[in-house]
Amino acid sequence: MKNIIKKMLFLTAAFGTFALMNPCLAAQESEASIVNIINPSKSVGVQIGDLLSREIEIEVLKPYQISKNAFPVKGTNQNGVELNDIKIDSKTNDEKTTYKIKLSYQVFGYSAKPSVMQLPAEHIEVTGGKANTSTPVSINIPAWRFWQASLVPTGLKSAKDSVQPQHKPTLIDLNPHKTRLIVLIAMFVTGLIGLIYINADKQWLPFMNGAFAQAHRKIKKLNKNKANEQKALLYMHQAFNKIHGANLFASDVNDFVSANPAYTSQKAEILRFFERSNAALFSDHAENSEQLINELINLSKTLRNCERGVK
Amino acid sequence: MNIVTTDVQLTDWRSHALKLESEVKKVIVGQDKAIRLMNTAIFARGHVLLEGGVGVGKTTLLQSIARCIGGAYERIEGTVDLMPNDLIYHTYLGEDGRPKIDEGPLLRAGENLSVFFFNEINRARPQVHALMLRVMAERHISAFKREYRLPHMVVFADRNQVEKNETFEIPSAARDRFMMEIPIDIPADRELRKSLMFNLKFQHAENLTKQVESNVLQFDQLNNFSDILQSHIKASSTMEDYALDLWESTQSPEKYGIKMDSVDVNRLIHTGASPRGMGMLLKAARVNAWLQNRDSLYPEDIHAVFHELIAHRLVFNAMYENRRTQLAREFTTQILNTVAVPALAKAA
Repeated sequence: MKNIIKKMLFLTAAFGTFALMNPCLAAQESEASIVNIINPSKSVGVQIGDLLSREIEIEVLKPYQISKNAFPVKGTNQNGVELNDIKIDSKTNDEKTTYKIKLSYQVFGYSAKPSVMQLPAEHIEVTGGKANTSTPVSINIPAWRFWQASLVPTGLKSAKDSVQPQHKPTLIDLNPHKTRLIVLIAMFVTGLIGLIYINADKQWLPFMNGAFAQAHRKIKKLNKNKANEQKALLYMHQAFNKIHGANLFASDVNDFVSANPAYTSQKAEILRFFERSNAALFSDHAENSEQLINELINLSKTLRNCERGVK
Repeated sequence: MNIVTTDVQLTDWRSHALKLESEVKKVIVGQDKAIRLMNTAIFARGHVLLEGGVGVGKTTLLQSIARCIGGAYERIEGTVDLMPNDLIYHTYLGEDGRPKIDEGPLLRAGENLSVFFFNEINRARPQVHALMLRVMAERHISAFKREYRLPHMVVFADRNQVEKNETFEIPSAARDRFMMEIPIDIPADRELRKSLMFNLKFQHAENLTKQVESNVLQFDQLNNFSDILQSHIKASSTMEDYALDLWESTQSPEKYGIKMDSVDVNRLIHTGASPRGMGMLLKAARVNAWLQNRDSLYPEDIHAVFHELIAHRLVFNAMYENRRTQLAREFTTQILNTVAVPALAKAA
């Protein structure tokens, strides 16, 4: 017992002497200290490429501070562990500055067998203080160890030998997509056919060989001059006569639209055509041939659309 | 005559012509087309054959028109014993017991005669037809050792196509002298028929005629104005071709693809329209264009008068004569429906 008491006294005296002889440690503890360290939650099974983060909170009393250059440098590689990123957040009040340092490491070291690696210890110098009285202050962040696990067993030569049967991924039900796709394609094709039906001008299209369709094609081919004016009018009259089943004249237009309701909407235009036709064919009123033929092209196209049921 | 004067004349006369129509329509209902055609004939200076049953208002219609035209109106009834001299003079015993001779209905009014109505012309003998047709063509006649001129006379004759007893058919050459044969039918509209039955104003033809304004036209200036009108209305080459096609189609219908439902058209026609007939067709069509306030001839102008101008001129093979009215209507309708304007060959 006496021995024990003697030893304790000795240790106390020794520690006190050491503390008195090392003012640096005393200053370090009082001027800058690590408040908190949060290490990665998982210290085993770490593999090459994994990211490990640790957060350190440091308090530095004023006038001390940590210079930006004092922090660890991003990209530093120590024993196969590289500092991948560093983020520093600091808050200052009247007495102290609190630094929150987030260190992100990536493991590049590899061993065929499980081995111990570590996030490196970091040494951060604290600067500031009064030039004459202050003593150098630094913070030592301790290393943190973990077990590195190999990716494949030792001596594995062919990956194929170790292939494990896998479950098939869950199949997505394609039916709704398929139905939607079919509907969309059908709509697209219908629209396309509709557009072609309405806008195309080819003889092979359905209902494209009616009286006005033929007249329209013939008139379009004519040169727009005085000599062809009568021909263009003739083609239009032929078309009207063909549909009416007899010669059609201005006085018969009411009967014509009654018998052929598809042309009812164009009654005013038809009457105007007969008016212009009479003026061009039977009187000496000069017509602008180009304009007349252009109008006949438009009218024959409109009437062709009526003929085909295109509004 | 300058253009302005002509235009004024055309406008003035047109308003008179339309006034004539409106005046006659006041007393004659349901006969608008016949009134327009008679008006057309007056301005084309052509004689008219009226076709229709008994009591349809032909006489009232004629008297109304005669009142509008002005001048003298004479009338004679066609009977089987009517002789040509009955048109020229009539004899009677005077108060002194001596025989006397007076001018007949044709000469009585002299140059003032504007309308001569020959009622039931087909009951008169061919000798009477011959005289009448000569006067119609020449508009003058010699009698009592002098020449009577009838420059303003227009003849309206009536024939009943249905009744055939004691009648003498007018030969085709004679029919050709008439510009038109106008059908006067009973109006189809029930309201009009009711009105004709129950409205008392239609029961007194003489009073009815008096309601028509007299002397709407100046009968003695009609010939001159007709010449002006005819020279004013122009026909394009397309129109001339069309008229020619129509003429040829009456002669050779098969050439123009004309078909009829009831008969073989190639066997129907013996003789088509005559050059005189076609000349009259164009004259009447020009008047129609003028009445429509145009200075150019349109196909519609020909259509408006085609049947009435052509039907009575056609000579059918004998076997079809008893169906003339119906077949002539069908034939002229088919011509207008089939002969194209502008003609396909000419335009192409």
